Amino acid sequence: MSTAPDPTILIVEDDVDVREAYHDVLDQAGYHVITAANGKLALDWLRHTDEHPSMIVLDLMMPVMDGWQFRQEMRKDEALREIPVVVVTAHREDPGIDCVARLVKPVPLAELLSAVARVCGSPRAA
Amino acid sequence: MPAETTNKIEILLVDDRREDLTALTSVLEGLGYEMITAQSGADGLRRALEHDFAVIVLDVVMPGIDGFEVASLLRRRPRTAHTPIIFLTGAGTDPGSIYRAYSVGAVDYLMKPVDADVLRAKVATFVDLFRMDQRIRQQAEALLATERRMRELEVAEIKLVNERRYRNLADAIPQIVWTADPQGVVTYFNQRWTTYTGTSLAEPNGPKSWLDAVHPDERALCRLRWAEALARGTHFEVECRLRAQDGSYRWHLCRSIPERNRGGEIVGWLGTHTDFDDLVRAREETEAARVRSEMLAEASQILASTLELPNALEKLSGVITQRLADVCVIDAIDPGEEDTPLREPLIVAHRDPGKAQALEESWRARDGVRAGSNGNGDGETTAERLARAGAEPRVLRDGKAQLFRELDDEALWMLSDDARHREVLRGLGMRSAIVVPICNGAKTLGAITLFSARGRNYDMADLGLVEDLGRRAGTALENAVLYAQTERAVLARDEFLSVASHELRTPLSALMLQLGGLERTINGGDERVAKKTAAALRHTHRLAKLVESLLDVSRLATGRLTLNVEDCDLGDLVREVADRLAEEAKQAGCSFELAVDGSVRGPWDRLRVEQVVTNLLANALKYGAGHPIEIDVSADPDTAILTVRDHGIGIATDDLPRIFDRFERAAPAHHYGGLGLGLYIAREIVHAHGGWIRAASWPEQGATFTVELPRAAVVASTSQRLDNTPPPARARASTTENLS
Repeated sequence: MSTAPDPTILIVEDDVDVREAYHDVLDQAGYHVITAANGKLALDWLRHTDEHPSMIVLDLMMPVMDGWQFRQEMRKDEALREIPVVVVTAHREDPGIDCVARLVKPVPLAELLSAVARVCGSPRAA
Repeated sequence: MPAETTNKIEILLVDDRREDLTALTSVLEGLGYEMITAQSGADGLRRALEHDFAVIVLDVVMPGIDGFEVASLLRRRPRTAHTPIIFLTGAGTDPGSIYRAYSVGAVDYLMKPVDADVLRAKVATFVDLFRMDQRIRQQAEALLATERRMRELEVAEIKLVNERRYRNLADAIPQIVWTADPQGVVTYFNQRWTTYTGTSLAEPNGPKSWLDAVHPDERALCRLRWAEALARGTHFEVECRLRAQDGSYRWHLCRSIPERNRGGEIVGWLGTHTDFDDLVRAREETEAARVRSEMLAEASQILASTLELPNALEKLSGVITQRLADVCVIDAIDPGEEDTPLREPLIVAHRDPGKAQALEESWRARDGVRAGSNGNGDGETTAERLARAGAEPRVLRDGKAQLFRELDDEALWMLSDDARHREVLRGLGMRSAIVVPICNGAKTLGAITLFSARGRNYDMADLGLVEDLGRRAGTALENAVLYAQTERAVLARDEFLSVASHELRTPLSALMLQLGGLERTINGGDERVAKKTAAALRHTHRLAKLVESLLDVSRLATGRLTLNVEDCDLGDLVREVADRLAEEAKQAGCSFELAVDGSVRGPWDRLRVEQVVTNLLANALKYGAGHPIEIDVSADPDTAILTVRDHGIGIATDDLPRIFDRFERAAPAHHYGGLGLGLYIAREIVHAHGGWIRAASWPEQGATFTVELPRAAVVASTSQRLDNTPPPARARASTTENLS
């Protein structure tokens, strides 16, 4: 139907299993998925690529550069500032971070997909 | 009497004519008489005043005062009333003159010229009479004197007997008795005085006064009162200590009363000293026991009132400096850090708060303390740590209390090996000290040191009291240690729960997503695989909920539950939860009968209230025994009310009070699963909203849970509790909540 490319989603998550799970289910759902193990790697990739993702799914507690620092760096960067971010938190309390949606771990697949779809639309293959 | 007989005999001769006097003198001469002559009546009267005459020879006819007048005057004087008078008169005297002569007192009458022999004979007769009279009088006087002497002897004898009896009596009684002269100089002490004081009047350097034995503290007062009594002649009474021969003093009641003669004149003083020292001591002991028990009660109350031991010990030091000491130093371990070396005293208190700081500085600057700060405390016992920290070493090493009745140089050395510190103690005038361990059983946890600068020195009774205080403080300290350990253990558990649930979430996240992906991949293809995948997913969700519950418990226990308050409709919220649980209800054979009375809105945390409703409905499903479950939502202007009523097994009355406690369930765990956290979490969330939750039930007749939520905004804080549950443990610095 649409010829537009699949939306690209950047996953920033330090746990390899969770990262892979995000990758698998979003990829299966038809999204183009990029993953990074921490904020620093994600930021490096973002700064060296022209194809900015449609959205970012961001974990908060990570080594090297955590979610809050990553978000701060993003906001400083004109090119990155507007990319929508969905934050995944460990608890229900407000983590005090700027985001379009907040998901609480463990995230049911339906919730993840609906949140992603709300932000960047449904993929072509879905 | 013999002396009287040798007295000379004097004779008065009165005649106005010298030749007649010469004649008379010559007649009476040589008879051993002494003759006094007078040439007129007046001269004769004068002589009669100067001598005791045996006989007076008196011429009648004389110029001036004649013989009759002289005789009459002589008779009127007592000295001469009975002296014989012989009248001399010229020849041819008429009988009227003779009669007159006798009437005025003459005893004889002679005519001139006088016959020498007759005169001599008559004079001799009267001299004899005079002599006899004198002898009789002397004999009578001698008789009287003898009688008087005999009576005096008898009286002296009686006095002696009486005195001996009184002294025996005085020696027999247990009091000290003394007598003194009117000036207060002691004339007698009884045996008891000698036995008691070891002194006696007989000794050359014996006591001058009973005041010599009075204690110096009371001597001035006694002296003053005694002087007043002596001056006024009044009864004297005073209480004072008297020195015994061994140098000790005992309290006596000293009394003295004046002794008076018949005329009311003071002839002496009688004094007694009654020993009432035992009474004083008993009185003191009773008072001391009262003070001790009061103090112990106060100390126990202070120590039991709080687990904040440093505060309690500070208050205890206040009580001690108020009642027992000028300085109180408490060394003790910190109950929260019982394994950390103790380096300085916890509390240094002085009765005079102005002096406390200097004292405290000196205490903390002791050499022992500096030495202590070098060590790291590894491998040391508490006692060693305390000892190294400069607390009183021996007491801390062997846990034995020390009493320093007199703080002499040696005692000060034992208390402190720091010269400056000793100087400070000396400067503050410390006289006596006690050091006792703060102990629990054989475990020494610290020490209490007391100094007294005035009043009496410490004794064994004080030591016993302070030891008791030390034991009580030890028990309290041990309790505080155990409490701190328990608190730490609870905190560690809650933190573990928090960390564990976070850690569990990560693989759960992966599992849930992968299973979700798997379910989508199968997409109803293979029914058996799809069913099993759906079951696996359901179990994963359950697991996630259990993990969530554990995290909630740790949040609630550590007071970290915060509410995200927004405007919610309770009716809608309950309906959504009921819908979500419809499948489970079907499986449990129950149905939800929901009645919502209009729109019930309020400022609540939607997710948390959903959790409350979910927990209550899940609970009703679990114990509802397949009967319908009635849910009512209603409101008044202030409060929203939710009731959930089931008709299941119910809750025993005994179990009702604890069903909201953590890990509690009324039904046996092996019949009904779950962690027993649902109602606890529900109650905590309701309380955090400022609401109430309660349960009513009868066995086999179901249970009704009622939740009331305020419709006005309430500050979301778990510390605002309306029930009597203990507040959550104090929040400790922790980063676990931020782990994701």
